[in-house]
Amino acid sequence: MADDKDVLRDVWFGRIPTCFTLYQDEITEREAEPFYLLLPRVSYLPLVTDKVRKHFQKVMKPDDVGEMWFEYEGTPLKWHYPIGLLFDLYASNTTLPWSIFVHFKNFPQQDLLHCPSNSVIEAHFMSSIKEADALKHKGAVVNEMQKKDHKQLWMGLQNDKFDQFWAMNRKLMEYPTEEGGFRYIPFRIYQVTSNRPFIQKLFRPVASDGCPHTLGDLLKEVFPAAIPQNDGQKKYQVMIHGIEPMLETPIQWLSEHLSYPDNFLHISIIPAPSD
Amino acid sequence: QQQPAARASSQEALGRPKSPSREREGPLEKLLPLRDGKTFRAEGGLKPPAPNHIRSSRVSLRCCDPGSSPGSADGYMKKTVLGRGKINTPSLDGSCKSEEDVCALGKETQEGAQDGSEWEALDAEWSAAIRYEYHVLYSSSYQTPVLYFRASALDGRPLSLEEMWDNVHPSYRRRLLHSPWDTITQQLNYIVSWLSVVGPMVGLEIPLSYATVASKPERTAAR
Repeated sequence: MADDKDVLRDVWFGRIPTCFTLYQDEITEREAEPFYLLLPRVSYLPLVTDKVRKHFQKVMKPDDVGEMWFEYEGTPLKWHYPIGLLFDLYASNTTLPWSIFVHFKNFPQQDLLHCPSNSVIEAHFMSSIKEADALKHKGAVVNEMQKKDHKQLWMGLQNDKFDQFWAMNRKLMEYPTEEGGFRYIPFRIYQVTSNRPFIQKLFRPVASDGCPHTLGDLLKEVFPAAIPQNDGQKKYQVMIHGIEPMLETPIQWLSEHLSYPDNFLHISIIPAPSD
Repeated sequence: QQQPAARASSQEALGRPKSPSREREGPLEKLLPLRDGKTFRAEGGLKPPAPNHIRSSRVSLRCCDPGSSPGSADGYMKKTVLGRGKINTPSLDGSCKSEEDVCALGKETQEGAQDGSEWEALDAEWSAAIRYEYHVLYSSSYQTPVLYFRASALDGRPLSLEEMWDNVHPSYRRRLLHSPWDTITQQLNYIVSWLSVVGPMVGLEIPLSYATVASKPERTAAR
């Protein structure tokens, strides 16, 4: 039986093979070759795509290189969503590598936030961590940390340093033994066809009778359609980090082991493949 | 596409909140549970609630993301305002000032007032139309009201971080940069108090008429 700590490593080191192709409307001085890269599931696009920009800048005039943005099958990719979430949501049942188009002009202001520097990503990342801790511990753990501790979380993510990150993150995963879990579970459920960006609600990991709540309990509460009916017909896949955890999995365990570095469980609900 | 109002600062109706399944008293009701479990109601006109012991609460201030609903919330208030301010010519790469530069902005405000001949130039510089959008939501994550704001030029282009700071009054810049945002007051009418503190920092003015006093003001304790 795999140690629980192995799960933390498997999540952190998950990668998605990706092919970046320059969008045909971009103006180049010579032909641009596609660029291949293994993207970390737990990180954010602008943090890991400097090489992509440099690669395409080589064949373009500086004046034609505006802010880089990415698109998959016509959908601009929100950089403030973790990469693994974007893949699970839009491309999980397609053949690898993931094919993404690269743009340097016509930035879609209605769909995407600008990302002028890494400090913007850091601010967004820390904001998510703080919100998650507000849910788990009323913010007590984050508030007790010093500024250098916050920096350590960010630097761990930025530099892909699992040990550095988890040395600090483990504090955010603690809870009073008598409580049996966090106060509320930080989670967000995403669905491409929905008009809301995501579903986020208050949900306790332990019932009033002391029984641990499962992933199935969470879905029953906030997305009952995702629970397969008795006739065995599965309409949806419930995906986290590219896998479908069993509905009997305790949600507290999922929160401790399958959260993204921002301490949220980002869950994708996608149509089940009809093969 | 909405027509901008002719006046420099116009006010649209406060939005209708999505209320949870509790009884409704009026069209703009918003329920805010307090940390001690008691609840009170605040109407759209922001009249003071029934006297209840109100603890101080954390407040937060954040910028709107065009594609994201800010956390889960039950109640909702929205206001749009047209104001005058300073906009730069948009740059191609969307670059913005670093945090050090923004701190320097705070220092700049200590310089003396400009002499008369430069007022005209300043006036022209500050005459761009800016559309401010304010949303007040109750965040169940933080169990506190949250003020979200977004500023854009009339063509819809969002203001850059540098432009946002340019339009924050100098006396607020330093406070925003250096002071902690912990708590405000224990006044009965804490929504109005809170809004009157955070609002002006981002151009949202709270008319005095909002603060109707129904009972003896209590001792305020500000941290």
